[in-house]
Amino acid sequence: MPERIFAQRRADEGRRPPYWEAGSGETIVAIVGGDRLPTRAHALLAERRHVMVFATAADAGTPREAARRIGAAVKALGIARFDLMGEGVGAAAALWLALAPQADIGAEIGSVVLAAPDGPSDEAFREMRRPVLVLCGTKDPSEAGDRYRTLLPDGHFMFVYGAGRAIGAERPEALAFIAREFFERRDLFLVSRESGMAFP
Amino acid sequence: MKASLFCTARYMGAAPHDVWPLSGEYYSSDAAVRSMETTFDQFRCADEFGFDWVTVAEHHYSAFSLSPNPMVMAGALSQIVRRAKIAVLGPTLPILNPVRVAEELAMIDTMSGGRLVAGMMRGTPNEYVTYNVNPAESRERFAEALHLIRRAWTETRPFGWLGRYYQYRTISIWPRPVQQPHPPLYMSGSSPEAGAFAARNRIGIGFAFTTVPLAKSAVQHYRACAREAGWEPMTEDVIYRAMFHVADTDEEAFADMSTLPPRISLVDQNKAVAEGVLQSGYYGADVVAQRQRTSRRELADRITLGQVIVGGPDTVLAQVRRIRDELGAGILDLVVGAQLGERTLHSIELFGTKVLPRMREL
Repeated sequence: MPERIFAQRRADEGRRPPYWEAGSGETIVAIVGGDRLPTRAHALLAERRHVMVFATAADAGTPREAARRIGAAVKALGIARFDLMGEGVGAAAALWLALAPQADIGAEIGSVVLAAPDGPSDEAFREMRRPVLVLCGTKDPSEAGDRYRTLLPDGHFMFVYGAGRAIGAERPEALAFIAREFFERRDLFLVSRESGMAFP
Repeated sequence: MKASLFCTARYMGAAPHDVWPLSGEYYSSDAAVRSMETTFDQFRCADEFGFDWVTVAEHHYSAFSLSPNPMVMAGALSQIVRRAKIAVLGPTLPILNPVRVAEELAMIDTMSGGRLVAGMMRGTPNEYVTYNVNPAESRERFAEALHLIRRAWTETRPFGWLGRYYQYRTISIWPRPVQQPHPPLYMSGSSPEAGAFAARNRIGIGFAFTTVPLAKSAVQHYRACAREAGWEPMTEDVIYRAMFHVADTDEEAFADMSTLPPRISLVDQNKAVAEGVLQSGYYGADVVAQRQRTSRRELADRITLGQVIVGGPDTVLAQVRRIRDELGAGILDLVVGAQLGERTLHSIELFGTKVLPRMREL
């Protein structure tokens, strides 16, 4: 179970929302919808990075309010910089968190990966100025891909073959791989670094 | 019912036809050039005498076909064949780069003014050795590649692809297909898995070098799966391929074909390849029937089973009617049975003038 490598914590002596934490190195803040637990994708990311997984619990209000609470928790922890990943309903909160003034969260946000976004407003997408990669499953019937590409003309868009709306659970290796590539290299991720050599 | 002419671009020089891979020691470039010219003559003849389609396919390392890349052949035909549709039946999808396939097929559709028919095939099993691809992965590769090609044809904005077998950071093909949303699609329907997949994805099916009884059962399965998926295939959704030769009389036609050696499938030309492919699970659940359809048979048996159509025009029409009645196939893909120079061209002319007009009424 991926959550076994994650420890549950709360910032600011328990006054902030709980999160799951694993790994070391540069930080990735991952936001998942509802009260979901970390997936294998998060565990794979934690092999090389410090990963904090927040859930937008049902009582957390709107995605914008969830983003505000998560931003405050990150600030209380004194994180200086992080990359951001949101899945499903969590992607809407991630988008609002990415739009928050740096003073509110006390940290610089690097790149943003949104997997099967559920619920983010067009307004939030249009305001986005950071490097963004949006992922949609080929089994996702929402056909929202065109919308994201219209709203984010400078963003990147990828289909995840064989996945529906739970990309992190259905294609965890693929999600972790591409998120790491995008976080590390931003737009340069377009150019493969993988070796095609059969034998040296 | 419609007809297509499939000329495999068989090598016309002296070479064994029961060995795979065939050594280049047998190769003569003069014979190869002559083979290509003959192939183009036969396609021109089919276009002139009313065939609805012409067919090209992909085979490697064999005198059976000098067309390892059907896209090249189809590109040439787009400028030679002026009226008939060009059926690429097809690229062996699991061993190729699917984005390249989408691009090349879109080129052919554009070069031919929207006359492409796109068959997506798993190919004959020996082709997996050609490009060193594990045949055990063929169905999954095929399914993913097909979905990707459809996306490449229909998505109007750039997109990346994070697949299981294929990964692209950004795709945006030019040219794009003339036919919208995309050219008509076909795939093999021989196995139960393939028939079910085609039905789920609303794709036409084709049968190559099978028998009418096996194809009949497969078509029934395909139609049942299509009904479950909420649609009813048309007759044009089923292609049946058979070898053919027509002469003025039955006697002449049978005499011409009597020189034809028994057909040995490409995979059965190499025992190690045949066994390795079998062990890989390539054939799926219906392995016995899949192996049976390529069994070595004499000409009389092949005619009885509908693998070969031969005779004078009336006899050939009766054989075609049987295929139509038993399968409900709408497209007959006719493979040049014997390379006999002028008599082969006469066979194509006879079919086009004496059989095809009556076949259209079926």
